[in-house]
Amino acid sequence: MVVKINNVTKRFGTKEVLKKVNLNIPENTIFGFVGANGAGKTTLMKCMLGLLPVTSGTITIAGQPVTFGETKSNAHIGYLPDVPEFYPFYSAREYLQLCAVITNMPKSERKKRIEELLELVGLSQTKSPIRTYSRGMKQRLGIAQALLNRPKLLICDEPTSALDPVGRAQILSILKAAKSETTVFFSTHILSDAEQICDRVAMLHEGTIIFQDELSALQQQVDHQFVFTFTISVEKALSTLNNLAYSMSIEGESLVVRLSNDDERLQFMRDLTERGLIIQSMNAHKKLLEQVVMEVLK
Amino acid sequence: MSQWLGFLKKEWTESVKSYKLLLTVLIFSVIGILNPFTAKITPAVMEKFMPEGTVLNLPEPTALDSWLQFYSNFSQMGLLVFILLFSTMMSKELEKGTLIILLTKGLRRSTVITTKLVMGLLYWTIAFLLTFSITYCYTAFYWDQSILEHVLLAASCVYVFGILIFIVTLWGNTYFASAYGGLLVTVGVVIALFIIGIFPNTASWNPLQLLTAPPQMLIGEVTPKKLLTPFLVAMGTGLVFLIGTLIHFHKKRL
Repeated sequence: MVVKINNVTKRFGTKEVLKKVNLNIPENTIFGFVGANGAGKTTLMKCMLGLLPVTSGTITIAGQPVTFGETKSNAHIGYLPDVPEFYPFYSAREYLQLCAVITNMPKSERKKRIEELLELVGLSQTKSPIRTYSRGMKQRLGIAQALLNRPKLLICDEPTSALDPVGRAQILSILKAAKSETTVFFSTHILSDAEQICDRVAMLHEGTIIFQDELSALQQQVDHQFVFTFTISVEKALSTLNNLAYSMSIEGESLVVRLSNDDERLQFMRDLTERGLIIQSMNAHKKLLEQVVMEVLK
Repeated sequence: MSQWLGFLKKEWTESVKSYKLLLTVLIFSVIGILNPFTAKITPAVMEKFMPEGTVLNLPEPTALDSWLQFYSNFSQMGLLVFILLFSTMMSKELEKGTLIILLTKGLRRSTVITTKLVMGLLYWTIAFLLTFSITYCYTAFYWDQSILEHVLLAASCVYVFGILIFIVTLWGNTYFASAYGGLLVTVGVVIALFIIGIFPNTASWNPLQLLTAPPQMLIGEVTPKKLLTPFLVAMGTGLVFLIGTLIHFHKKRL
């Protein structure tokens, strides 16, 4: 595990923002950290970075315990804040050069690594100072600086929340590409973003982790439900099947049918054939992450 | 390049790009020129603005008048301009959050404070040397300065007092993380020194003496030895505020 968070509690005065949080992040995964605004996601990230002291509990990054103040564990981390702020008078290249000096990167490696990252985030041709950058460009530069020292863990705080669809897609694709050399831990309240690229997901609600698992496990087949589409409209298909005793419902352009066992599934196929309904597609019904969240929050 | 030098270079670049170097050179050169110039033209100006027929027996200006202008302009206007220019060194970074990324990359918190201190001291030194050398040369052009004692040492007292005020501003700016916080602390400390100065027996150690005694040192009324204790108290207080800044920033929640 690249990150081990054990029983972390964080209080601001009398307000308990994190309540005995336990979280383990395996290496080379994209770990989505979802939760509403104000759930405590940024607070936990700042505790992981040693920018805030924890009230109780321990955090370990790549085997190194995190301490408040100057923490050695930061050598393993790349961090992208929700609103990354840079020195506006520098260009992207100059800013990365400063970061390379700060991280004590060997001089011989600097130029190559900086060019590589500028290429990755699509800023290699930009010579203008950062003050002229759009929000999306700043976010991409933020990822470049975070990946500069080849960190074992990349922490991104709401990297897509304020971007337009094109900017969001760019950031998600960069994060996906980054997975080959690091572990990505990113927070978001946009569940579809987490769904697109995450291997694992944890949800923080009112300071408590209410679930954490592999995304595929969370989206597992639901109550033996199957999704069918037909060559005719779903409404017509349903009216044709209406007199049968299956539990059926319409979801968008699809028919969702509950088939509890193999016999029922075989019988349903026969019924379709008898009624002349031609199947276009058939899938096991998976939950959207949003549905999972809504069910948990019920 | 080490981390410390790298961040110092950033401080220098920032100060140049935000016109601090240009402003410092311009303002303190003007102050340097103004000192002897004002001393030279004051009698002529006063004569011109007096009602006709008024007889004025103004003595001819001397090098002392030029240096008195130095202690009026550099210690007041110059110091104020310098503090205003550098009063947001920390708060700007803390308010905007520009340090967060670099701190999470391993930038030492002490590096942030010490590089900002060095940059501020460098600018204060530039300001002092500019004003002093221009005043000295321009004064020498008009008058004989051999009548004055300890010219450089007397001027250096103001320089030392400026260092103390800058460190106090840096502490206030870091502690309150706002430009006004730093300025308020500085104003508070100066007022406190003036209040302390009301009591005559504090003159032997009050750092404010570094600001008020130099003109008397020029004419030999105050010996340099008399300012040794205020100098040591100023340096000691500066050191305490610097250590306070380092400790506070080390534990600051960002």
